[in-house]
Amino acid sequence: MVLNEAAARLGVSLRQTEDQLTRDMLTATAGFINCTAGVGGDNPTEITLPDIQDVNRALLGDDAYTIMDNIEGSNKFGSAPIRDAYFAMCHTDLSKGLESVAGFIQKNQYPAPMRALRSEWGAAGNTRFLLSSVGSITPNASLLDKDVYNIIVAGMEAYAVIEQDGHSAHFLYRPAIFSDPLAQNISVGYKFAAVPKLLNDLWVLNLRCTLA
Amino acid sequence: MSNTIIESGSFTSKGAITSVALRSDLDWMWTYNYTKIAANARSTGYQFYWQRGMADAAGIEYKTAAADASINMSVITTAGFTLLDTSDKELPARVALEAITNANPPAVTSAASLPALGSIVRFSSLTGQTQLGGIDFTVTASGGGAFSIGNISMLNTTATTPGYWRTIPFDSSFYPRRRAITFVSSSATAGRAKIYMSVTHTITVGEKVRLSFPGGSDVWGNYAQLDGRLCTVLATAEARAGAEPTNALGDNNIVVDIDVSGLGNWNVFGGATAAAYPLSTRVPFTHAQVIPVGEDLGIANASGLSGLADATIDKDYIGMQLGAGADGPAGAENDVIYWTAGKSFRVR
Repeated sequence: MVLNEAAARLGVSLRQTEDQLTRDMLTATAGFINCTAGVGGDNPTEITLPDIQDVNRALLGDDAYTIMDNIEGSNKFGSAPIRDAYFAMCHTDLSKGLESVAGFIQKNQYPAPMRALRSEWGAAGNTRFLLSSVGSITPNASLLDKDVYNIIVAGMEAYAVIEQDGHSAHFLYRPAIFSDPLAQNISVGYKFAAVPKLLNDLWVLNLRCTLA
Repeated sequence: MSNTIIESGSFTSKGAITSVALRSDLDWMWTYNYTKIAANARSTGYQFYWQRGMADAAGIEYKTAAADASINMSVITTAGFTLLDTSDKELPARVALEAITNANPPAVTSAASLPALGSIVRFSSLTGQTQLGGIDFTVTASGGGAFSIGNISMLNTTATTPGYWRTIPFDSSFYPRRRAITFVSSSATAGRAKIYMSVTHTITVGEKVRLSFPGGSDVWGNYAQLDGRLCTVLATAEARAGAEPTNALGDNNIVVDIDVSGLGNWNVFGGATAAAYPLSTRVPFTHAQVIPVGEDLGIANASGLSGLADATIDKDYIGMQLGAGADGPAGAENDVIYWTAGKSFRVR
């Protein structure tokens, strides 16, 4: 029972660690655009629709494929069709700021909400936003000393995580008899070897913003 | 003993703070100053010890007396051992600055404290020269109540009245790293461009970089034409000339295979021509960037350099930061330091 619980928690830790490493690679190596259309007086500003459109334009101009297909409109009150879209991965702190973006469509307004991902918050322009509590933040990096939120907007096959043969994910368990001389302690853990890597730098952009 | 991991090694001190990357999160560490022990030196630390639970920069020093080589033990509270985890991006408190001069190099007066030479700083809440807000800079001189950021020229700006600076303890996690462009000019070799960056770069000859000048000609004048250009690095650290940034630590530039001679002079912060680093009235804007994206193997091999210089590498690590000097575990310049560190079976 305890071992099962440990295995479940380690599994979450393993996948979150993979996500964090990929996040750090994208933050360090991808080019960025600051949000500049906001009114907060900071650099970067809060996120606005023109900033999202700037990123869409740049990715389109560099022939980046959108990841998600469009969701056709349907005869449902309060719903709106969703364009084919790039994915934008960002921190949960941006949930409020995104809802203030002109034309933002929350996922419950999708014609088919079941086609949204669990982490998805909504869409604006040709971008669908995924939120995570481990989204990227660069602390105290704005003109006014605020935290800067890195919104990684990616097209199809912009980056990859390359797993090493035979080392993708190992869950390790040693019973007490093999862990210490008096068989009092067991060992559990995991290890993996993988490399996150940009495949085409033109197909991913970091849209940087601050909170309003 | 089972579950105990011991690691050891040595290094020659540069007389500065030294960081040792360790495979496992350690619980104790010894250092031995081989050079000072061999010389039977006086009034200096021979041996240092740290154990988990001690405060940052603390440790126990085994020190020789001034009169003879007898050893005394003492507790040190500065320039000792500090545990490192470079993935922890929490930053120290910001420090008030009095002014940034409009010179080349610009001097930053800061009565409260100064950053270490070679460290990285970030500015915020500047009342003038707001273009610098949020950009990281390498400290190229430090002392006498002021420090310099020699990778940028601030000529033509209005000197800043109060603002803040903050030390950035760690560079970004992954290599190759994006860098902010501070100056572009023609190389001494015709048909090539020389590009300066705000933080010391580690780009090598043969690497492919993409230039980014977001915002178009409204922000970057003629130099907006360089946005998106892919180029190859043909040289690094070419000697400065003319109005280029003055960096006492060396010329922090790369030379690439594009011709910028027709773009006019790069007049920092709004000089006479259309080719200019943005005026403060252009804030907010996006800083120009050098983005390493690959490598030309032929050029790298011809220069005797690694064909894997563009490889994506996680540079984060856990380990120990060692203070330097006569009473520091990293010793003085050219001291040979041996160390051993371990992970305990259990820490009580």
